[in-house]
Amino acid sequence: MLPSKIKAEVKLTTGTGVSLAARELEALAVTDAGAVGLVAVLFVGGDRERDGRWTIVDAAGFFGRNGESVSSARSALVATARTQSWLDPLRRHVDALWPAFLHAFVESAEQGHAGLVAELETLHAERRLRERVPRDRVLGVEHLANVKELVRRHGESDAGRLAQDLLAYLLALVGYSKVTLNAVGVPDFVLEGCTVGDPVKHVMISLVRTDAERVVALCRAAGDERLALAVESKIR
Amino acid sequence: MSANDNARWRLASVTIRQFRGVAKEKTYAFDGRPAMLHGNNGVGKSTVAVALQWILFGRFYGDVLPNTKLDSFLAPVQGKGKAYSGEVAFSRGSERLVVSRDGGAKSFTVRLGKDTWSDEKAEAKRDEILGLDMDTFVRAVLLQQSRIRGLLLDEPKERNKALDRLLGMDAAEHLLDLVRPRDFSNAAVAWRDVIRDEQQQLRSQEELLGTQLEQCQRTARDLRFLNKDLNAPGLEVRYLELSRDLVALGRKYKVEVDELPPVPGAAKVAAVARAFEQAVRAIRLGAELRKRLTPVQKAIADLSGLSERSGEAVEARDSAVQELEAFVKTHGDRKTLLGERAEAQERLKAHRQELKEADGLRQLLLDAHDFVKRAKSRECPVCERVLPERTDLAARLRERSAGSASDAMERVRRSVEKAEGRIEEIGAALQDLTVLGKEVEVARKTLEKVREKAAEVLGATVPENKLQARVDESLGARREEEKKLALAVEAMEADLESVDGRERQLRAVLLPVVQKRDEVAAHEEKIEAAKKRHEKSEARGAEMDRYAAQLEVIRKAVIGAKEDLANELLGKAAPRAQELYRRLVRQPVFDTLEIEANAKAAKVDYTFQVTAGAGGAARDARLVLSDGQLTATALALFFALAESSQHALDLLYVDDPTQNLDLPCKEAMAKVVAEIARRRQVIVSTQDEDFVTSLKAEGFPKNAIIHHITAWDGNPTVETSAPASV
Amino acid sequence: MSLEKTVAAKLAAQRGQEEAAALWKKLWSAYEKNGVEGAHAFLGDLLDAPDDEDSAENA
Repeated sequence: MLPSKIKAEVKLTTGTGVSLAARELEALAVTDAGAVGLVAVLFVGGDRERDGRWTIVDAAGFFGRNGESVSSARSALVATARTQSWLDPLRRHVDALWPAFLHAFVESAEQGHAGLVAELETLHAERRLRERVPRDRVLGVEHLANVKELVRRHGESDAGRLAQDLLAYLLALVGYSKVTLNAVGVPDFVLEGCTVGDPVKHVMISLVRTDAERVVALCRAAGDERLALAVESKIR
Repeated sequence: MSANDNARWRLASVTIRQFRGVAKEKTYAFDGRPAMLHGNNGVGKSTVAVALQWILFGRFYGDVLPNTKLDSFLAPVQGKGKAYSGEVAFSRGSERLVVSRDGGAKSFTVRLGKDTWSDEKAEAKRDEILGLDMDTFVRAVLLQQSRIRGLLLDEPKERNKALDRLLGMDAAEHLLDLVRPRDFSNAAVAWRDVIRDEQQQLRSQEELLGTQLEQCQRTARDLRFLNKDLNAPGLEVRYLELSRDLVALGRKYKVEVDELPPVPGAAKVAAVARAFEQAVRAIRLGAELRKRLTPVQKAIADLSGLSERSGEAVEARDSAVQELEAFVKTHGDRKTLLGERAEAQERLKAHRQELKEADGLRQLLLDAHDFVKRAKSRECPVCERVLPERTDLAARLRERSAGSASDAMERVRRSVEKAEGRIEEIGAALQDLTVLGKEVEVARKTLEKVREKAAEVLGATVPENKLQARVDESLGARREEEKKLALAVEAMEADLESVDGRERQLRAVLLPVVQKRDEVAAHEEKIEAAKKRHEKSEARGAEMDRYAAQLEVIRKAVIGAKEDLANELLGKAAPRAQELYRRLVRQPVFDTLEIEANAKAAKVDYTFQVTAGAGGAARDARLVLSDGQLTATALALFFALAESSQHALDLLYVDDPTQNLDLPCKEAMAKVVAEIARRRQVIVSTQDEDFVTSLKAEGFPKNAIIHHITAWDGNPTVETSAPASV
Repeated sequence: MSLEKTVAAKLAAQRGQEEAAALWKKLWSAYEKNGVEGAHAFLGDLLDAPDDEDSAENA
């Protein structure tokens, strides 16, 4: 199942850890049971294994700590992520599409934050975002090159903002109709209007597990990540 | 027997079948009493001890006969067969416990009263009923010389081993040998090495491929390919464009070419390139231009030939005609010549006639001369007239024949010659005339042919005088036409070259990028697969580490336990051991025995020391005591241990205890044994007759059963004396 | 007390060594059944090192 609402704080770092200010953390608090507050970190520090990939953790893991800010090293974040399996569907979606998504918009990012957001907004509204994502595989080396280039071109701070924009719309592709970006405020973005799991017009289908897994794979191969996730969430 | 004795089992009998020194069957009765087995070496005494252990426990510690298989060890010394078996019977009051083992059937049973157990249950029952395991049995019941041999050795390791045996610590020692955490941590390292090595390989390969990909991409970008081209879809699009342009070219040059097959990936390019090549060739060869050019070029070839030949032909003909005319002018025509020849022939004929006549006349004159001369006639031989007197007829005749007749003849001959000469001349001239005539004919025919050809090529008959001009004119026009067509063909070649060049570039520049991308993609998949494998390897490595850690802990625990157990046993036995030590060893100075187990990092060793009085300086027993004294010490310890152990078997089986003992010691030993035998069931097996005597002298229980083995021939011959029980 | 029990007691007295205790139990059982060979075989079965196939496969 997907969260009904996502609040996210996004960080991009060339270092080995991140810090979250108290107010950033506060902004991720959720009251609704179906909502989630996320911390998403993009590491570009030189670790082949994690560079270029999003590490996504539930902010609930950080609550309960006193103090102004919270710091976390990469390894701790990764370890925390492993214990939060409810975010796995989101993570899978991001892992699968992020390289292609970045590749599709890395040139648009040249326009800077305003230009990029305008384009993403339009495409999302017209439901044409998916089309822009290339079907052809983006190689690992190419993706890393894209990420590094993003940082090189725009600097860590601006690159972080651009990554934030991209992640927001990437996640929106899963099935969120409303995207709210906060370039300066907190949280960095909010996604609402989850269209997956709409109770109206439901059809009940019963499949053998292996068939269901095949359906997921076929949907994914056809580029229909939303449907893939919808089926996949039922398998577990 | 005391009430205590009733609570413990005693050995009633041992039955041995086809086992080592017993080829057939032999039962040794003990009836719960002390006993003695004595006889010379090699009569099978030790067979009884071995049988006892084997029947009860089915095994020995590893070094009984280290290089011999158990079967060979147990099989009868004489004779064959693996059907060794045996029974040991115990009695406790009225109860009877029978333990049987069959090596052939591999069965083991324990019978107590009406109950019978087999195999594993029997093993458990045996331990339960007798209250001991093999360790305890070896430590506290059955003492064999082999156990203490090691104490006499110089190597501390061997002495420790011997003490282990004496204390029944073999299990701990075996396990410490076996438990090697290092093997597992090595395995963990090996797993990690595999991962690391492979990761390194994959990484360097990845780097290499990445660099190569970058290079290909750079080359492509230098040649104006865009980023969107540098992948399989890009390649496909480019080939699509090429296909379109190729079809358009075909249309332009009026050759129908098919669209190229699609290029969904690098693998398809070779086939498409071939199709492309064929299409280009089709256009090149089938273009309308070429079709038009060919006849023009042929016409030009023909016209060029004609141009050359027509001039020549006319010239040749004119020249021949001229020659002929000149000849005719000089010599006259055929008719004239023929006429002249006829005339000349007439003249010749006349001259020949003349000549003939002249010759006749001369001949006549000659004949007349001869006649006259012969006949000396005065008449003219010709006209028969009488000639004047003084006429020398002969001379006159001779004169006339040689003179005018000869002149005439000469004259006529010259005429003949002249006529003949003239005829010859005319003949030659006629021949020449023929030849010239033929030449003219040939030249005319040649010219005719040229004209015909020209008519064919020009499409119209042209008067001779205009032939050359027309041919040259036509040739010029065709050459113009050819030039135009050639230019058009050049343009077509340029078009084809251009499109060919594009295709070559796709193959040479873009295709390598796509192929390299495929390679990189395949390698990335390899890395992913390797990650999964590595997870497994990592897990196995982690497991090995866990085992290593656990085994380390177990090792330490075993060492600790061994130390504790050993010291517990030694502690319990210490007082009695001390007493027996003093009695048996009688060391004047070092009269205190100290044996202690000490746990070290990797093992437990023993301090086996003697001191001069309690608190005195401790010395290693081996350094102070002789072999005999050490043996006696070991026996002291053995007896002390046996007496301090708690189990339900009231038996001490001592096998050959007097090796290395001197006589006083043997006597002391005999005293000790006799004492113990009064309280417990002691069975002594010995070849030492002195000891036997001493034992008897010390009153080794009068109710003891004596088995005297007197001979052995595969089976022992035993004389048994069993006094009535008390 | 027997070796087995003594060792078991020592392991039980240590915190967090339940797995070691269980391993000891199995090891002792193998030793009891089949002596040195049995224990050796038991440990041999546990030991899992990469063989050449593993490395070759990975190469």
